[in-house]
Amino acid sequence: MRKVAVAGLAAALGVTLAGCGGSDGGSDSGKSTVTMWMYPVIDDQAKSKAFWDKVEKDFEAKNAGIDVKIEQQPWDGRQQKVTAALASKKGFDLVLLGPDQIPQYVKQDTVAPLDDAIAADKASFRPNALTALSVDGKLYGVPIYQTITAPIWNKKLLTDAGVTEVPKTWDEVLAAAPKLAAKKTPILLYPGAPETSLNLSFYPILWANGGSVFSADGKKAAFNGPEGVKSLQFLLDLQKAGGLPANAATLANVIEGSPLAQGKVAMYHAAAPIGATQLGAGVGEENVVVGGPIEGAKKVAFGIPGGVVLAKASKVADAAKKFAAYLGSAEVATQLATESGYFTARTDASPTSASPLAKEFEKSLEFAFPGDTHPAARQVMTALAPELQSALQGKKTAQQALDDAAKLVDDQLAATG
Amino acid sequence: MRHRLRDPITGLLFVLPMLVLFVIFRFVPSLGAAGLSVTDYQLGGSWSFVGVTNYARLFDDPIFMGALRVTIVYVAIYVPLTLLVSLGTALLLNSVIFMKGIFRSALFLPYVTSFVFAGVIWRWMYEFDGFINGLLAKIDLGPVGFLDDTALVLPALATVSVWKGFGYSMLILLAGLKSIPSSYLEAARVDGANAWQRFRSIVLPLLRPALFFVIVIETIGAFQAFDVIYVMTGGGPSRASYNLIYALYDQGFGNFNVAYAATIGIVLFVLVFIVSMIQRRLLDRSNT
Repeated sequence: MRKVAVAGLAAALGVTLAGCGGSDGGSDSGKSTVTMWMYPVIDDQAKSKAFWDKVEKDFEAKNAGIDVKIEQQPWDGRQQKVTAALASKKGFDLVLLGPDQIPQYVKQDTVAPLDDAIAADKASFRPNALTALSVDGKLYGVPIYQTITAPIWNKKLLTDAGVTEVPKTWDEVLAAAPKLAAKKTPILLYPGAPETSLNLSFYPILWANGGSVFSADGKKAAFNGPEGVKSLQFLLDLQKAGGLPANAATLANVIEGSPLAQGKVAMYHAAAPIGATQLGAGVGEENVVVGGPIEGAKKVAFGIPGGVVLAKASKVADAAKKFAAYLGSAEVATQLATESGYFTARTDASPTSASPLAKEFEKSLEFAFPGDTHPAARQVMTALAPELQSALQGKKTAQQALDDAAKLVDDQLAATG
Repeated sequence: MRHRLRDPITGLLFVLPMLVLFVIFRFVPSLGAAGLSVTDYQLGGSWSFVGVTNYARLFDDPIFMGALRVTIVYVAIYVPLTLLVSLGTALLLNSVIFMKGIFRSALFLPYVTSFVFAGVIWRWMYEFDGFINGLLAKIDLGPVGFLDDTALVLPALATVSVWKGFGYSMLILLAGLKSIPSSYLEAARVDGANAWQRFRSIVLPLLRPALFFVIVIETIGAFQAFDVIYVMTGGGPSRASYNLIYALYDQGFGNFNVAYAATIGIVLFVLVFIVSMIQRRLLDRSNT
């Protein structure tokens, strides 16, 4: 009996421990396996699967020795999962990243340059897309698409409140706010929830007012300068004029089901094209107006190239570079832009069937700004977002909130070098 | 045969698979965290020994001190609340005669739903135009910003956690109640003890081992609350729900300060250990 028990337990233990093992990927029977983590760039799940399956097959047909695995990941928790994967040197060979994420990984020496992957084709990419994905002159991401944001308006609410022209400057937004507030309609959906990227909430206002997140040398915070204070004070003034929803401090930037899509708020200032479609579904397409970037001291539209980045620990770097180059090609870029509603990062390719709304977004491409790229860009958001919430909840003045956040950021930058 | 199965080596073999997993996934990482906390380890792999620098930094860090305060307040709200609800429902279930199984399953149901799912549902319920504010509006109250008000956010989150988690404690307490011989209660009833006296003098003392277990696991769970905060508030508003686990997560995965995150983890471990020891002293005297 005891022998039976021991044998059974030993087997159970073996199975348990076998589950703890991992696989390193790489070569299998002479084939190089390239694993890529892709995200829902194409919003529709079925379309997304069909598109990436086709990309995989087309590439494999042309490159017999390479097996590609495209793993779909959710946007949620991207930073954490990518960081963990790079640190453990497992998970992917290629991954889709934005320009503000790349410098931190370059600093950690966990990603590898990709200049040689697109050397022959470099002139065909938008120069600002290449610059955004480069660190210290080296290209770390092959641009496969370009996003752009623009303000989306519910024209009906403006008309009902007697605002005949769509505001073009932040001053005009502030001036129009009381008229809409009289109809109990806040003018701006400001998404103050800490999990919302500041690139899509506070920073576009800061940049339009001529401010920046970091000092020129990148060693200190700069968002608490006069431009930053003016930007936050603008939000507080707008709030006072009834221009923000009561729960602006905790709102997320999800358009579907939001007060904006319910016809209760007039505008969101940093929407992606999909946001305009969702707003149309909520309030009627005929009521949606896509504006140009709202002007302060200048016009700025947050827009980033999506870059395919190579993990330094990849054991199939050459095959991965080939695949990255294929993803950046005019052929794939055109199809991806058509399916995703984004734009291409190339000058020789554009989506084949852009909707009228998408064409309005395209006009903002010339004002595209990829954000302050800095190794601590994401960390600064963690420190700043709660302080912005405090100001919006009346607990701190604009200057206090920004100074407190700047102190945290400066300490952090000093501690991490 | 019976003698052989009671053999200590056989016993050890039975617990060995779990022991191995515990050592690999709990004990070794904990030692690793303790080691990390005295270094300045970077994700790239470089590190040097820095002694207690990370621990000293904690006490000058307003975010850590804020997170510590939030953690303690959350535990202070959550533990009594969950104890009250699970004990109340266990007592009710114990006295129910019909459809016991259905009631028990229904009350246990939230426990087996995902925390993320529960968080999303409760977020809708708490919203300005959500279910609860809809009810309040019917009596001309509100809207109340349950997740927007710094004073209300922790009780609101604790309520969700209690709803989600009380089923488990309820079952433990129910098992405890079932093990109390009915003859004790009958004898007390014959002697003229009322319901409160029977509960106070018979049920509560005999339920002490189960209560001790529930209080300890619920306290540890409350110190480690994360999912519900992550899904519902992201630590906000204004860090009013930013607890130690959230700070650890932000430092480790947001700021890449892995060593500093490990330091927070060790402090949390010490805190939980001390509180558990105090609880053991206070509650478990009669069982030791």
